[in-house]
Amino acid sequence: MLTIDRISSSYAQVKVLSDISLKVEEGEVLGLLGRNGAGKSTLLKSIMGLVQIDSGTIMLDDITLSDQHAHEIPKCGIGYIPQGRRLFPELMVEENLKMGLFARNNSEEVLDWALSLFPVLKSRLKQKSGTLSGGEQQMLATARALCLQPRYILMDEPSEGLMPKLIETIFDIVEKLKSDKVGVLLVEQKIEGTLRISDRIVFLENGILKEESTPQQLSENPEPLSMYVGVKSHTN
Amino acid sequence: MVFLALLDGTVTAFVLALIALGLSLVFGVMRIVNVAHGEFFMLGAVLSWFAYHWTGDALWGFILALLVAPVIVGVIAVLSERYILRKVHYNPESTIVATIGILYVIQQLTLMLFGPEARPVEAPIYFRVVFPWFGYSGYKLLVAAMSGLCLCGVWILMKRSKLGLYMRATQQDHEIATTFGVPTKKIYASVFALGGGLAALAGVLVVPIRQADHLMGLEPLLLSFIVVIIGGLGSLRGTIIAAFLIGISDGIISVFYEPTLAKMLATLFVVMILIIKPGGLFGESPQ
Repeated sequence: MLTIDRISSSYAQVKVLSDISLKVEEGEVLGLLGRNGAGKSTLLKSIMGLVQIDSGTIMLDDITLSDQHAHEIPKCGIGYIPQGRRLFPELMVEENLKMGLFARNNSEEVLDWALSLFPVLKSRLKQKSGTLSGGEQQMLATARALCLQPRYILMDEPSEGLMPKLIETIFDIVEKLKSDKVGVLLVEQKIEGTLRISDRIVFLENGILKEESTPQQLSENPEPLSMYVGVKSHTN
Repeated sequence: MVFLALLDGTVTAFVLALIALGLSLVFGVMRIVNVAHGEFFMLGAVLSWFAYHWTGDALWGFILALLVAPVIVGVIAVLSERYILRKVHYNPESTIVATIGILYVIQQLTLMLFGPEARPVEAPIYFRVVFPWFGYSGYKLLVAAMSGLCLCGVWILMKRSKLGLYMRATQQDHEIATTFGVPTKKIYASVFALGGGLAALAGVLVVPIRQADHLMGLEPLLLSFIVVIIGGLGSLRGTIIAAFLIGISDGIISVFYEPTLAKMLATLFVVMILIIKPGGLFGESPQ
């Protein structure tokens, strides 16, 4: 289980996260919703060790991730798909994928499995990743993270800038990960899709965890959606 | 005469490429302008002199220096990275000041231990390659060949090895590289050591052609900056192409006119590049 216990973090003197606590179980999708600047991406970066936390602990089972160097965290089985993809643009598609493989010394079979999820990448292996289309870049960012064979994956707006068909593909992948017992912490702007695939939803506002709910509860009472995300109903 | 100039220029180009490649790697991956880079070259030459005198034999001294000098300089580079550059968080402005400090410390320590005199080192092998019009130093051709081999080695390291992949990934996005298990601080130390080691290797190769002295790092530093700026900061391909451009033109102009004129024209070329293509021939233009 991925356990975040009362973490706070700040940029310079400005507090970005205050006393956040949450848990993600194996095979669970936890949707993290909130307006821009609520602290969603900072929370994911804090888990990855990219943002120093001021207090609190982050645990993966009995491993204290918050005591580890940032580069040790992926080795524990945490994958990260950053906002805006952030591929290594001058590296070939194959090299980007190998970055994922090398992180946990995974075999080429894992690469084949990741490519089977995104067959279009097979014909692009020798191409520089910066020359791919936006959709292909998102597929590569997802495949690269999957090459780690993560136990938990943190996804920061994976549907950003994608056409609807591709968004569905990404959400299908999340559901497949869920069935493979991978825990997913999903930051998304596409509310409808997030509600469809998530087991639980938490709302963040100004760095504070405001409310926890389930998609079923939100379909009966969508008020938190309008309060914390600014949508009238749960249809996007 | 033109052929002789071309030969001399090509030898200069190979050595220059070797020195400048280290500077370019350090800038590309760490975003640091290493002002002390020329001192790593000088240390290679001075250590080669010590090896020559310790063994008392030109060939064994050369082999020893080839093996040991890059390692010693690499260790000095790692210590500088660990205890100086890391302490200033690789801040671009602070590291310029810090590497100027490293330059003076290395230079003055060398002056204390080695003395102010320029000291010759005998070439490990001596033979002449006879062309129809003139004979040419076989050792100089060997220097070019060995530099070429080292350049190929670095190319293979960067393009074919896991370490090279990590270096290129760190160069492009060090934060995301961390999220794939890359220990970026160790990568920085490796790159700084590799850069220093390459410069030291060039020093070992060059010292039988010219003498070793504690001030010999300045000229290659200046030329390396010219090469790296023309080639494009951080571009390995650009660095090698620019080294050949500068090295061969330097050879030709030096033979037919004056070496000083060659340096003046190279500097003028840098100014033109900075005006027309600020990112260099193969580098990214600054935003």
